[in-house]
Amino acid sequence: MATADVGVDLVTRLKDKGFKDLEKSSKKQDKVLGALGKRLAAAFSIAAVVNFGKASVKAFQESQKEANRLRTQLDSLNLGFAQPFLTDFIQKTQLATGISGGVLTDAFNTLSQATNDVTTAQRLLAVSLDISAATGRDLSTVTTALQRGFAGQTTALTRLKIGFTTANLKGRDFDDVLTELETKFTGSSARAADTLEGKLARLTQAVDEAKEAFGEGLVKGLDDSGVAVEDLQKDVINLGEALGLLAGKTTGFIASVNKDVQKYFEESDRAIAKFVRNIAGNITEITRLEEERGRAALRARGQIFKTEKENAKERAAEEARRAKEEKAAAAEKARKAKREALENKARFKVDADLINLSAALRRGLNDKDKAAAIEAFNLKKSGYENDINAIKTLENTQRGYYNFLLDGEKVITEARVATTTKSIAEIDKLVTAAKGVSSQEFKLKINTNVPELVLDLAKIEAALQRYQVQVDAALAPLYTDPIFSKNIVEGLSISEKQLIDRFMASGAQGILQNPFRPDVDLNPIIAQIQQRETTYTAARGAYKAITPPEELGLTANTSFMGTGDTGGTVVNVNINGSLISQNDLVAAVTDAVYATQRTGNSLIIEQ
Amino acid sequence: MARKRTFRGSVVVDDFDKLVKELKKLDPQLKKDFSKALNAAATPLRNTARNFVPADVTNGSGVPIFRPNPPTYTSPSWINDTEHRSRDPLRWTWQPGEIKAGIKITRSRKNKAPFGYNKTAYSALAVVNSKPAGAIYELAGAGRRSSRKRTKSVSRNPNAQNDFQEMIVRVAPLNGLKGRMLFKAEAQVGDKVRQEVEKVINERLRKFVRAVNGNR
Repeated sequence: MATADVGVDLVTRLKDKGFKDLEKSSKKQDKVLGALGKRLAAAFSIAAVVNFGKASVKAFQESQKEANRLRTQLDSLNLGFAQPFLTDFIQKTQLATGISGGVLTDAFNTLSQATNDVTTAQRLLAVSLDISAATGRDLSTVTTALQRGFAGQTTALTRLKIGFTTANLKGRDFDDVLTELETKFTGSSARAADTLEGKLARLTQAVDEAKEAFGEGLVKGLDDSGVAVEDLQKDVINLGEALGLLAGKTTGFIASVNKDVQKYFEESDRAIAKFVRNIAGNITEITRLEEERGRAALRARGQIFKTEKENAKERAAEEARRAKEEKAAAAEKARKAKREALENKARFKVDADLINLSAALRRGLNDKDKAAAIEAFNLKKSGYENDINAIKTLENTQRGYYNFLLDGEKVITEARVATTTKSIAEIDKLVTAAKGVSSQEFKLKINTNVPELVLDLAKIEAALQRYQVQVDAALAPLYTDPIFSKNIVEGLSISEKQLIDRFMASGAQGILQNPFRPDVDLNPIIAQIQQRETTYTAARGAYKAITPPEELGLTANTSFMGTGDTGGTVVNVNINGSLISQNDLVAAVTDAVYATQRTGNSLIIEQ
Repeated sequence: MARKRTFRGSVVVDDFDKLVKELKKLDPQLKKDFSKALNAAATPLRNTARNFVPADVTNGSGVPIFRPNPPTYTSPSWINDTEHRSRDPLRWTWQPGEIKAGIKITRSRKNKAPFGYNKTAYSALAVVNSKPAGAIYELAGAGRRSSRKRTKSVSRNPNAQNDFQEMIVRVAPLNGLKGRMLFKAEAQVGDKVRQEVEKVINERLRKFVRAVNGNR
């Protein structure tokens, strides 16, 4: 009594067995082909076997190269497991059409590179074979044309001269074109293969297959006997040369055999089938193996469909991710450019004031006046810097809003990871810091015992869901904000511009009306700016009091600070040459100031 | 997602290996905890089955059907007789402690069966009655006529098989059940245990792993 049979199953796991069967089937087929090689070896003379062996080793090497090319291509599509199935497909196509396996493999690789899946590539290959047989063009030309057609380039298709023009292909879906091609050329390949030439080509392919199998067996056998594979080909060739006479005789023998075979084929319609079956001598085994391979291939096909579907999904996700990254990078670049422009603008104002100050100082003020002028300038410079800082502060506040979105997602992810590592402290830290969820909910005792573990896992998940709800609720106002919901980065730029405009137009009070963050308390910033403004105004008043404006010849552009002081003295600077912009004026004045500094001459200002 | 597919009453999990692999990848301790959770779910079935192990198996006259101790074959009539000896001395020996120990939870039974189009079903969690004597007592007389495969009898009594089958159903009637210990326990607590196993796999761990991987 089998004790292992007495039991109650509670959980059953499933395993795929289809591909193991497929591999097993392929191995059995290899054995049959190996047996065919042995039969051939017994049927021919030694010299013939030597010649056959030489060709077989080469054929085996070529077949290995083809297999490697196919394997590399399939691996790139995550379909490496389908190689036995596709090798079988190519072999069958080779025997059915009389086209060599190498050409078919290259054609298949070309097409699958374009389609990224083997199912469509097989369909295109079948159409290519039909078109090639019907038009007489070589297969590689046709497959290249179809490959480009699949990618949307129809020029190569029109050059095939198969009834298509650029005009009637323009705007058409490639599936329609392919269906039309299938309707038009279907069966051409089969008809071509049914001719005498086709039959001989197919027989050649069968013999080549036998060579490959024989070569594989020969290499393995000699390899097992201790002969290095690298020396194998050389040894076989040397042996063949030593038996040159016999080889010559064998050539005559093969020629006569070929003649008889050709005559035999011409006289009998079923000659190929009889010939192959007589050589193989094992019809029942081959039939059984074919049926088995058919079933295994069907199962493999199902798996291929599934993998191709997953590949397509991954490609779409990758493209979406890339597009998102590019969009974010473009937005970041625009934001930086905007920021730089603003800073340049502010710096320019400081430069202009510096020029005015230098001009004032060169008029020979006493120490007290000089100190007052310098103090006034420093206050003004400090004001500019503070303006920039204020802009930065507000920008960061709004930028923080954007980061808040990102941080929310990050915190969720980290919390999930933390639950898997059972780091209670980490969970507490994340949750408490992020949303104020009570850390008591995460006081779990994961390692106490198994039922508690399971219960705790459920608790963690429930807590995560609650946490998610809170985060969503916190972020909800953002999503309803017309600007942030549209594009947070774009919104940031707009707000920055509006902020600066308001600031420039109406002073500190302008930024009171922040449309994006009504909930943020801007009073400390405003108070700071107002304090600075008051100080500056007082200092300027003192400066004016000790030095009459007419004497200074200096006009402070107070409109910038928005105090409403429209008075002042206008300084006219005569420049020889043309002035295009304010920058040119500043550059010219700066040059003039530097020139006076270098030469020691006075700066003459005319009123 | 809770899976409703079953195979001979057990919960079918297509990607069970993947689930275990994911757990191990997240944290090796999670895999161990998962195993413990499954074992805990199956424990009531095992314990109930152990409760059905009798202290001895005797006929109405007190003559043991299963001997309390294994035969030694040292008596003069047996010392030279190797032909009629049992293949396993414990085969017809009833030691309740050993039988109870033989009723255990296992994660890898040897049996497998074709499932669907191209799959093979393997047991991932089962409670088995592994001792030879326990298995015989469990199933004796419970099979269909076609399933009563006769093993080669080595007894000196040519009617030993028939005698045993007639006697065991009188001493320990099956009452329509499939077995006397494990299967009887299954009839009592099997549904509850299966629900618990499903709960462990579907409602808790499986959902948790998917949530962690972002595949809600």
